[in-house]
Amino acid sequence: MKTGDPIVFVVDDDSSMREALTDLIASVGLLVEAFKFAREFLEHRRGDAPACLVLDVRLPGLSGLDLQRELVRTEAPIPIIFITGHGDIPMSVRAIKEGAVEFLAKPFRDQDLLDAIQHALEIDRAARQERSLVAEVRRRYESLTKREREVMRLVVSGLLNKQIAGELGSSEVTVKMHRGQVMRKMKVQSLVQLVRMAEKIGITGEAAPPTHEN
Amino acid sequence: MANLCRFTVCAGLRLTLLHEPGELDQLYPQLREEEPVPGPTSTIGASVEHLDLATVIKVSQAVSGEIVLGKLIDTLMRTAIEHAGAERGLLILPQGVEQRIEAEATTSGDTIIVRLREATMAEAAMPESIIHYVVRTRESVILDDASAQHPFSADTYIRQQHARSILCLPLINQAKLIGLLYLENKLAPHVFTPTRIAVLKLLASQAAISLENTRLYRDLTEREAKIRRLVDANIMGIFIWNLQGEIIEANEAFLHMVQYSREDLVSDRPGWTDLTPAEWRDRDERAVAEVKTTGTVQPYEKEFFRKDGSRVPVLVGAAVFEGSGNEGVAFVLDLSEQKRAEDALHQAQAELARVSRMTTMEQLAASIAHEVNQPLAAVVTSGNACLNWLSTSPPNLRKARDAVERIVRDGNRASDVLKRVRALLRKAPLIKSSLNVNEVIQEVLALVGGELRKRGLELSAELDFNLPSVMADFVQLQQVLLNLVMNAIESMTTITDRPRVLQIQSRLHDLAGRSAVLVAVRDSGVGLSADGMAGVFEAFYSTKPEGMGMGLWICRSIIEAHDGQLTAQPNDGVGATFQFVLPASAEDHA
Repeated sequence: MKTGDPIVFVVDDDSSMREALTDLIASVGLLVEAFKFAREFLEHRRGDAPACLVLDVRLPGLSGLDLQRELVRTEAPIPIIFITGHGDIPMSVRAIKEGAVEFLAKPFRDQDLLDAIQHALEIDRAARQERSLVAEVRRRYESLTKREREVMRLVVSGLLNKQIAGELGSSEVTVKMHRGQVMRKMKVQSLVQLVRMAEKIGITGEAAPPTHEN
Repeated sequence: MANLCRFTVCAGLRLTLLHEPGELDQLYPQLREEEPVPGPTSTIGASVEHLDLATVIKVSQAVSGEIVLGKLIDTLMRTAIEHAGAERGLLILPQGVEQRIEAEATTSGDTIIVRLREATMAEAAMPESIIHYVVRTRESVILDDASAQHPFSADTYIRQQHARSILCLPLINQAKLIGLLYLENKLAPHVFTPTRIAVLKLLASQAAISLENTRLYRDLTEREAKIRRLVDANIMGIFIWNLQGEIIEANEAFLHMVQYSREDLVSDRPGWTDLTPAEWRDRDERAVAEVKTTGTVQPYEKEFFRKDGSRVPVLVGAAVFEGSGNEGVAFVLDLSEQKRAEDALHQAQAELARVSRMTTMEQLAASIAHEVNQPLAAVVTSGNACLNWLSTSPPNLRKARDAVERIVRDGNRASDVLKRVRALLRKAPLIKSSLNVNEVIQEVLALVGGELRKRGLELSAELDFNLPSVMADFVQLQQVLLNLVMNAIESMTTITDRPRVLQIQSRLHDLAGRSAVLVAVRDSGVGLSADGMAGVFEAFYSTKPEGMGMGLWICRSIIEAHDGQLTAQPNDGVGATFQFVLPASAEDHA
């Protein structure tokens, strides 16, 4: 198994179904790993790759819905496709509300499952990208000095250098210098890019202290 | 002089305690003079023979004209004070065994103040011994000078109050003591002269009659009010009827029940016979016969027509008016709510029965479905995987083969489940008894009656009541029939362009040379296609979106367990017919 290739996890207690699912997913060239119990999957250490979970609703012990709830709470949630032998509407509503990608009743059309898997992997890929991007931005932000962070906050809130200088009680030249440092450390070329990054890590101009009224 | 006293008895017979009347007159001639008494108002001074007719009539009318008790008493007291020259007067009326002060009149200058009061004798100032005497003897007592010696001298009131002239008259009507009029004058003796007394007696007898009438009137008003309350409360319908079938009067509650307005009652004059549907006429006639013999009608249930022709179920009771024989009053209770509740209860019970019978089958179906669904889903999935392996280039035959092997395994697994269920159904202890299929049909029709009505379906049952009995499990047979009937009903839900008819038929049939019973359930629903015909009894075959497709499969298993046959065919016209044949039980072959 090559790290980085997408992988599909299957949790189904019925061995026939588990085998069939594993084989079907493998037959379209995807990596697949199957588990009999929800607990087994939870304890399994996942590699760093886009992934999704094909999960039977009714499982002995920890049920599919219970597993879903536990996964939602984790750092790296995984998109879930539910499969069920007897899906009732309230159950599917609950699953979808908690973020399930799809809810399929057995027997399902293979294409429906495979489409759902592709969709789920896409979601996970995007989510991973987003997560790593945020982590990167956070790292860059953390490399800023205290004063540079203050300048950044005021810059993204739309203040001019002169205003920032007034705000911080320093000269415009100093502000200009700090601002250059921020742009460099955050690895951005434009104010727009800086604002987007600030948004990703939750820095907004709104949190700025009141401006001087004089 | 100090001992002078006149003591008069009601009959007008004068007694003196010390002297004969003649003697008195001779001894005290001044008494004969009708001295002007310092009375509060004008008095009647004429002797009874010479009484001014107009005054008498006026007095009489004034008193007799009052029908309201309060006003009568007021008039009586004023007139009495005015014409007798009394200074104070009391009207005492018996209440039960004791006497109560009903009114007190007092004079103040030229005005007479009459206060209606309800007090016991003890609370009012008066000579109780005189009152008791008059009540006991029903004779008048006149004391010309109470300060003199007389039989009531010991009375505390007389001793303390120094009343001079005292008169106490019984008010008698038809030998019944209605009350007492007590008058006194503390200032002057000899106020109540015979002539005045004559007028007062006239007044008293008139007042007695009026008082009695007023009391009767008041009682009547009270009773009337109580009855009115019952009528107007509109808790129940009430109407006055006669034997000619008319409704003479009715309260709002009754009018509301039959949805007639008061104007309708006057203009259309609907009779209670007109309001009665034909099938209730017999019952009404019995009620009329009952009322004629006993005077009352024990409550019975019937129906009335409403104005719009619909019917209202009611409970009716009646009684004739005393002395009439022709007219009476009837009370009517609207039973719509009760009937509705009863119907609802009935339906609920039927529904409960239906559900509890259905659940057995549905639960079975659901668990079978789940059992079979797993391997089936695996088969489908493996099949798809197999196709994928075959379509790679080059095809991965090893993988495809693995997949097909799984398919065979899982297919067998599914089939095993069904075999197990079939065996289970066959082995399920059948409680067979000799029964008539018509009973099963009728019970099922009772169960689905509500459903049929709710969906507006027509039902036609053609049952042969000379059928031989069959050996069968009543409940299982009922489940089969219920399932067929429910399917038929459901097949017609989407039909709007033609009559939706459910036909149930039972008839004699021949099953491989043996006498048998056939039960057919025919619908005018969506029908069966040629494809459907083939699969209809297969497990998981269903035309319904939520159908599990187990019902007919189980039905067939049950009928087969009874050595019978369950078949289906499309009708010539529209819809389909499902029928089962069961062999007649052995004893019927003979």
